[in-house]
Amino acid sequence: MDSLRPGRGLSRGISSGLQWAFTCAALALLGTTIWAALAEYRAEWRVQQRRYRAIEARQAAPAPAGSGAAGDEADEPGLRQIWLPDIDRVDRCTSCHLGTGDPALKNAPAPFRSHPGRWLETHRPDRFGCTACHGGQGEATSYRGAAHRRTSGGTDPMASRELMEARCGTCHKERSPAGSGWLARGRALIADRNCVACHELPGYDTAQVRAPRLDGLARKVTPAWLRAWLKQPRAYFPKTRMGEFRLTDREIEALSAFLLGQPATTALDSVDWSKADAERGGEIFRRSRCVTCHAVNGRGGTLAPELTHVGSKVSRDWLFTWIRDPQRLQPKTLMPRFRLGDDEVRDLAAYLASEFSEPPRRFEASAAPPVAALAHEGRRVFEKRGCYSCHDLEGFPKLARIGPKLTAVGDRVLEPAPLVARGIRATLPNWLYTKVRTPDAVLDGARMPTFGFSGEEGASLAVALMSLRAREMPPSRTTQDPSRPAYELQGEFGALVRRYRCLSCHSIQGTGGTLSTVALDRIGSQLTRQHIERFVQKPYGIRVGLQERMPQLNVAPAEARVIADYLSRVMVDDALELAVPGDPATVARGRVLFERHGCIACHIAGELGGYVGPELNGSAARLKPGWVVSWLMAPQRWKPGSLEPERGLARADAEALAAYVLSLPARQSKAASR
Amino acid sequence: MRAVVLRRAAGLALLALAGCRKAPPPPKDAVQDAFRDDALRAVEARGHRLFVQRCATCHGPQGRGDGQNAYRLDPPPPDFQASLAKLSVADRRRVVEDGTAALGRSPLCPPWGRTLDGDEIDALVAWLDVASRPAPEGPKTPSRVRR
Repeated sequence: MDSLRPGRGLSRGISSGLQWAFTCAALALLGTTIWAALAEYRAEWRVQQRRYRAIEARQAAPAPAGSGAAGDEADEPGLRQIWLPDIDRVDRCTSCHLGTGDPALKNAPAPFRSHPGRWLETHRPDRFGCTACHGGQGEATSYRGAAHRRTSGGTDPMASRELMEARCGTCHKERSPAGSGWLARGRALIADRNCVACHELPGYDTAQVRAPRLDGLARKVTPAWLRAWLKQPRAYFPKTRMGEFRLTDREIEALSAFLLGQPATTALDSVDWSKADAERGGEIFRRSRCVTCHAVNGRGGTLAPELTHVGSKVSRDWLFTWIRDPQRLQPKTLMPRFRLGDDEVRDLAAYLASEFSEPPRRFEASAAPPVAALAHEGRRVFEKRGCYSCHDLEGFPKLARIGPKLTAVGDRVLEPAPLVARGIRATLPNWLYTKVRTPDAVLDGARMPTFGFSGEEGASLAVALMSLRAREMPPSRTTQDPSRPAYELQGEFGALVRRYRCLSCHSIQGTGGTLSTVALDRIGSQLTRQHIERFVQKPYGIRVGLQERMPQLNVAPAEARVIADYLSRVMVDDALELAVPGDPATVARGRVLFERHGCIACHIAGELGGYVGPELNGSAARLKPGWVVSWLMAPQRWKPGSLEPERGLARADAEALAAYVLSLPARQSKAASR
Repeated sequence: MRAVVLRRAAGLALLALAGCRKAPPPPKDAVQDAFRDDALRAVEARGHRLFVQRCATCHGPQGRGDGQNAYRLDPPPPDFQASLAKLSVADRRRVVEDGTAALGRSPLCPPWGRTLDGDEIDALVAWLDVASRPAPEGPKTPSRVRR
């Protein structure tokens, strides 16, 4: 009877318990399948793609059909990804960010908005992806997974707008990448503040470290000054490179004793001070334009130390020897050796010693002689704090750098607990920022000095340091400043360049200083030989509005001839040696052009004109015609960043303008007499 | 006596409770604050850097028409806070690219369209928008709500 029941045969031999289990498993499988399908259907990226298509449909309705291929491609549903094998990246960001390349979506809602700026023109997404610049997790397909926001874990989150500059810096290795603010400022600070003396930093050279030699310090500075300086260098010179080492009073005493006990390697010159005339020294000070490099009361140049309190710091004898020949005491100095008579140097030193004798406020220290017994302890301080990293001193070779390597500091893994205990947020940029500004706030007994960086400087440094990553980009993706092989100018001219330290301000082929606006590379084709010879002997302000002027070095006539000969024969560019028609018709046409282009806004011609560019009266004695034409046609080519804009002048127009400019007679009150 | 002890104990317990409830404030992100001190958006900050570099000799660092060369000019550069309102964004761009002569005015303000690239012009025009608004917090910090 039982056997007549349908279905009975199927379950023969299987207990009802197992039946239950199978039913449950089947139901669970069904449930999971449905759930998986639903989850896939409702995946964030699919939801966004449906939203995008809805927006597109709404936008496309009023517009004519067939708007473009890019839109059609984005219409196709599916996960999108950009694969960049050479930098090992898979970026799926464009699965949701569907409108990045479509300018029509400028005001679309968040994930679909077109990319701001013109960055994608130079950084094509198919070649650069997204996360190479923005950071974050490119393989993720959800908002959270992509680390759009900062996370507490170890995942690399997306960079804030400012920190993105650090990511620019991983490929753009130039000192000052175009368009960057924080990064360029940070890199300039790293170069300026001698960071490379203590830390290994790729792209920076220890040859650039600037600090005085310390031998014979006792004849240069007073013990009181040295103590106060070691305690707080910025109290004496607010813009000094030297940091504050947070030394104890005993350490300062010991270090002073050690430093003041160092023997001199060169002797000081002696002079009869009874005949010194400080008033005449003041005239020499002003005539020589010392303030081009040195500041007084915070005003003046920043290339060299401030002189406001120099009389309270150094001895007269040292000043005399220094000004007479700075390069003998400090072979690496940027200061030129002015051609001054011994009596002039004496008067100038007397002026500096008396005029600037006031010590700074908050700069009190005992003037007692140092305790020689502490010198041994001072030596240990000198070694422990790495003073020798910046300062040269006999017996202290620069064997290894005292600070940690910073070659991959952008990938440093932080130990969060000790930082959080100190109330410091444990993100790498924040740690860097806090560390460079207040090293002792991050680590007790830190050896790094406090440099007094402002918040802005600290943030810039954090950005620049974040750009140093462990994994280098492939060379095909990086850009660099052109390499500049250092070369030494030879012969008589080379000796003059070294004596007058021309390259402290001027540059040749990118080597040298940046204080002067005039590069010397083709100066012989720009200026007449006669003008060069006159100008180096008696420089004057060519650009009236410019505060920096070439110092009066008192170059001797014979030296001026050597300089003029060399520059006008060697530092030339044949392409600039052109003749320019000077007939009255051309000059008249040039005059019309001169007025039409508003040249008078920046240049003085006749009695009127602006103070931005050089005065143009009497240009014929100064400028070579071919140069004026070439300059007018492409000023930015010759001097990138010049205030003279490109106007796209045709050669004929440039020639007419040049003819007019060169026809302007010199003014009666010669600029040279200023 | 006992009551006093009890009251003290209760007071202590309350204090302890209050202490527990107050979680320590999360440490602040000092570097982001330093970034934020820059009141300008990135593009405006870039525009302002360019402005200081190229334009400030005549227009003054904040575009108030007080550059060191301003007094040599006839007509003098205007105060942007008063003058820019009259200029549409498209016209501002035209002046930056083609100079004041493009609007039929004096040729004293030169054209920058051949010198600066598109991004730089965008940045300058973005900053002009900041310069056209009054700065309530003194001349150094142009008012701007970030992003």
